[in-house]
Amino acid sequence: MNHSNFNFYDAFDFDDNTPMFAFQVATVVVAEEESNNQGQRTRYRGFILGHNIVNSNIKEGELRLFNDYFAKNPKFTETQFRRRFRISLRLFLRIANAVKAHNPYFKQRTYALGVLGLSCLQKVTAAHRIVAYGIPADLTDEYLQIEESTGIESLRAFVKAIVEVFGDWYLRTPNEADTCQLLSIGEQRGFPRMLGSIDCMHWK
Amino acid sequence: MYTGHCCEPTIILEAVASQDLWIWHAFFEMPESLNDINVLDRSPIFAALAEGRTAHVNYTINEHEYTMRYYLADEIYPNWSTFVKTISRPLGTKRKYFPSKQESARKDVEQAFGVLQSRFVIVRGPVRYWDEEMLAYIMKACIIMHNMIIEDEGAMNLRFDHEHEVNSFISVSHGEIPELHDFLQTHNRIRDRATRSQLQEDLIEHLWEQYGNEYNL
Repeated sequence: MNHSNFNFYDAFDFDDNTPMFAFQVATVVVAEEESNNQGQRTRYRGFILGHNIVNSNIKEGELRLFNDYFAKNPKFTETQFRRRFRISLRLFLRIANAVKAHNPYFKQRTYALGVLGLSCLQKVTAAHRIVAYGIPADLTDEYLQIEESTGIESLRAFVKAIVEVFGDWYLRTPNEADTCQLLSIGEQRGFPRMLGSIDCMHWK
Repeated sequence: MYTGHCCEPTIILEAVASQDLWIWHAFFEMPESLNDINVLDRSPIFAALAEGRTAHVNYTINEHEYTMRYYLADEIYPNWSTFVKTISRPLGTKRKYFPSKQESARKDVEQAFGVLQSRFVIVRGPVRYWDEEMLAYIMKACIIMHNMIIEDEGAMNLRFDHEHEVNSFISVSHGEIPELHDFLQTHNRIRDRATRSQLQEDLIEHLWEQYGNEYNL
C-alpha cells in the first residue's frame, strides 16, 4: 500500500478524547508499513501488531510532575523537594540542564504522530528516581508515565551524561589547592600530612 | 554474576574520603574473588605515587623526616608507610589515645559510604540487573552527584566557582616519567614497614603532645 498521498492528520482528529482510536489506527498503519519493509528492521519499530498497547498519558504525567515540583507555585515546597530528591531544586535543575545540553536525547521531541514526547524533566526524574530510590524501572510509569524500557533508556543516558559532563571536575584527583586544604584539615585534627581515610565498600 | 569472597556477587568500591565526606578517589573492580587487598594492588592510587607523579614533600613529625603522605586505614590494610592504622590492643594512656583519634578520623570514609548508600539506594540494592559497563557508569554517576550535593550544600567551604574553574584549575603536578630505578625505590618506600611503624610511633607522640592534656582518664 502506498500511503504517501494519504493525509493522516486531516483524516483523524487528534483530540484528547480519542487518543486510543488514533493509536489503534497508527498500529495498523505501522504494521502495514513494516510488512512492506521486511528484512530492513531497525531497532525501533514502533507499534507491533498484536501487542498490547498501554496508553500512557505523557502529557498528563508531565503536567503533574511540573505542577508538583517545578511550577512557579508548586504543590510541594522546596524543602519537600530536597527531602524527596535528596538534592536541592537548584542543583537538580542544573544537572537537568547540563544533561539536556549534552545529549539531545533529553530534549522534548515530537513523535511521528505529532504528539509531544516525554519532557526532559520526566526523563531525568525517572532516571533519578531509579538511582535514588532504587525502584524497578517499571514503577516509573505510574507517576511519570514513562514506560519501563524508556525508563531504563533514560537511566543509561542519564548516568553516561553525568559522568561525561561532571566527571572531570567532581571525580578529579586532588589538585594543589585541594591537597593544601586536605592537609590543613588533617593537621588541625592532629594528623599532619594526612590526605584522608581509605576503605572499601561492597556492593552486593 | 561477579562472585566475590563473600560467596555472593559483589562489587568492591575502594574510596578515599575527607572530613566533609567528599569522595576523592573511587576505584572499583568486578571480577571474581577480590577482596579489599587485591583491589588495592590494582588501584591506581599508589601507582601515581610510585611513578613519581605526585610532588614529594619533606615534612617532620616528632623530629623524624618523612617524604610521603598517608591515609588512615583499618586493620586489614597492609603495613605500608602510606597507611596509618589503629592499634588493636593499646597499652598505656598515650597508646590508648592514639586509636581513639585515629578511629574518629577514619570513620569519615565509613560515613561517606553510609551517606552515599542512603542517598542513592541503587548502590545498596542488588547489582545483577545491569551489565558491567552500566554498573561502572551508575557507580560513578552516584559518586559525582554525591560530591555535587556536598558542594551544593556547602559542607565544605569551597572557595571557588566551579563553572569557571573547571578548565583553568585542573593541573595536577605531573613530573617526568622516572627511571625504573626511581620507580622501584618509590615502590619499596611505599611498602616500607620500618617507616610505617616509625611514623605510627611519631604520630602517637605528636598527638599526645598536642592534645594529651585534653584527655583525662
